[in-house]
Amino acid sequence: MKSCESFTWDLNAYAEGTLSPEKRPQLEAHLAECPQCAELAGDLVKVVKLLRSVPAIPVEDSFTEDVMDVIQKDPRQDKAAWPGYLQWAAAILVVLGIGALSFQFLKPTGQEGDQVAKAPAPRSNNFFFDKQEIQKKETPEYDRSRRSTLQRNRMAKTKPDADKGIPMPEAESADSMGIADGVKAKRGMEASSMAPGEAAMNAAPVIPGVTAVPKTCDYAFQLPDTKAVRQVLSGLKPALADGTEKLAETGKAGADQVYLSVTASQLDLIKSLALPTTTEDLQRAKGQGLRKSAPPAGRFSGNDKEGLFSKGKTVDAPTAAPAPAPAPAADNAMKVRQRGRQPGAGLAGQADKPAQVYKVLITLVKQAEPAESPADASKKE
Amino acid sequence: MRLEDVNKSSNVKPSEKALIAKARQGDQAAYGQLVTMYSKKVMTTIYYRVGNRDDAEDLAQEVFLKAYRGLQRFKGDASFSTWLYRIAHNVSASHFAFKKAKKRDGPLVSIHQDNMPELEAPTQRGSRPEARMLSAEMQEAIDNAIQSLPPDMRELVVLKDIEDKPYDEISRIVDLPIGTVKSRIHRSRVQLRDKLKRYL
Repeated sequence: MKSCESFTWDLNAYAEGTLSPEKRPQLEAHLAECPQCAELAGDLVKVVKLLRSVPAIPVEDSFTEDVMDVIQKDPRQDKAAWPGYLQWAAAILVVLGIGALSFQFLKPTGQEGDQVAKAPAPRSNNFFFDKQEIQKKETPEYDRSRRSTLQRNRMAKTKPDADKGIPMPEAESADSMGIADGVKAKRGMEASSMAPGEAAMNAAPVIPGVTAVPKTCDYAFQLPDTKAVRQVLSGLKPALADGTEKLAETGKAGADQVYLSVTASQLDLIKSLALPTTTEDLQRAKGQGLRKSAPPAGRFSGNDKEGLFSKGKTVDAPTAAPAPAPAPAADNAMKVRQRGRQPGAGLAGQADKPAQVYKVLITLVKQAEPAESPADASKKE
Repeated sequence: MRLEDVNKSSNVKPSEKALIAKARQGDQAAYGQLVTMYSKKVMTTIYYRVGNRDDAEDLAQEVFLKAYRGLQRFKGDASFSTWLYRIAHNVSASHFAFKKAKKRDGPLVSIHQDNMPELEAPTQRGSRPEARMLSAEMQEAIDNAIQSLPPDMRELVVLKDIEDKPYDEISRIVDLPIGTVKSRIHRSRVQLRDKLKRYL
């Protein structure tokens, strides 16, 4: 005889009305013998009947409309209507596109701190990206355009008139000393694409013939490449640390020229220094030691690491600064390199001594103005 | 799966096939008809599982939204209603997981008392000749009895006795062996018998 448990599923099938005709006699025989199972079967039939009478839960009349509204507002609803293979194709295209963009933007563009000005790139035929625009962002001009607002304001205050240019000293001009291009700090390599004022403000200085343009400078002075000039510049450069990350820069500017580029604050610093401006000062310094006058309080002493211009310091010559080579004899140092008609031609005996160089430099510094716009420069040309 | 596969499937009713095919091609009106066809069934299943009308309606909307998003993946192996119930099962499970995390289970509020005029007449139950208008008291008693069951057993009883789904389909919906489904339904019915003794 079967146990009651073995009829459990049959009881439920019986209650549901799905019990097979083959099993029905067995179950009915068991129910006739087992009052408990008979009672349970009766109750299960009623429970099932009761549950089946439970109506479906009504929904709001606007339910379908609400659902369709939600679907229409669903950002993925367009995707839902696409066949699966199209969704995969779209996903692959998106991934490829992102990869191409990443390649374009993340590829290395040069050495860190590279300050070499780059020529404008030719217009790209790339369909998706304006390569010229991307390369423009890699140039110093672009970095220049991102200078701080404070610096912009300062530059705006000192910006020259558009037609003014940078005048040379009248009484003792650079021209009169044979330094025809003693100071020319043009700004903006792509002047035509900018408003004049904007070009003067945003673009990096461009010195004719200079291949290496400093990224961060406001003024640039071009001087003949003489021993004396190099001595002066090498002595001056470390003394111009103004507490910012911007350093005075020197370098070659053409075949026989060098440049000194400084920030506006470094320019003020130069003005504040008591530089040896006569040969007598240097001669006296050579014999007795040159005592420099104290710089304005708080302006310089803290940054004069070399001690070149500190009060009480003896300055033998600008070569006291860490120049690459020891200071040569005066007669050798004064020799001017002359190659053809260069800005430094005819300079021998005038800017071939450190004192003269200092003098010229001070004159230029006093008259230095931020820049003339490239547009004006080209007009003048 | 291609549209032809859905159309060839024997588990999808002819009228459903056309609607599903149109909906897969982006015909939202066709999908709206499918929503109308299955909204009460989905709502009933979810309501008896979550025990709250507001939650049930939100979840039902979510079910149809997910179904629309996944329409391209509907293979037609099972009926469309089974596929919807499966989504409803998953959505309800997620809801319970969320509620469990927030620990804010509320008491069941019977919706039948407030919505009696909207209840379907027994003749509208179609395949349910036993269906009849229940008194509000009995309806509330049934609601309470069902809600006294564990959520998983509630869902099984609703699918079997209210939605009249075959065991194999229920097994696929809840992803349980058919033997487990049968035994749980039996235990649920026995518990309901005890709860509803006075109405039997």
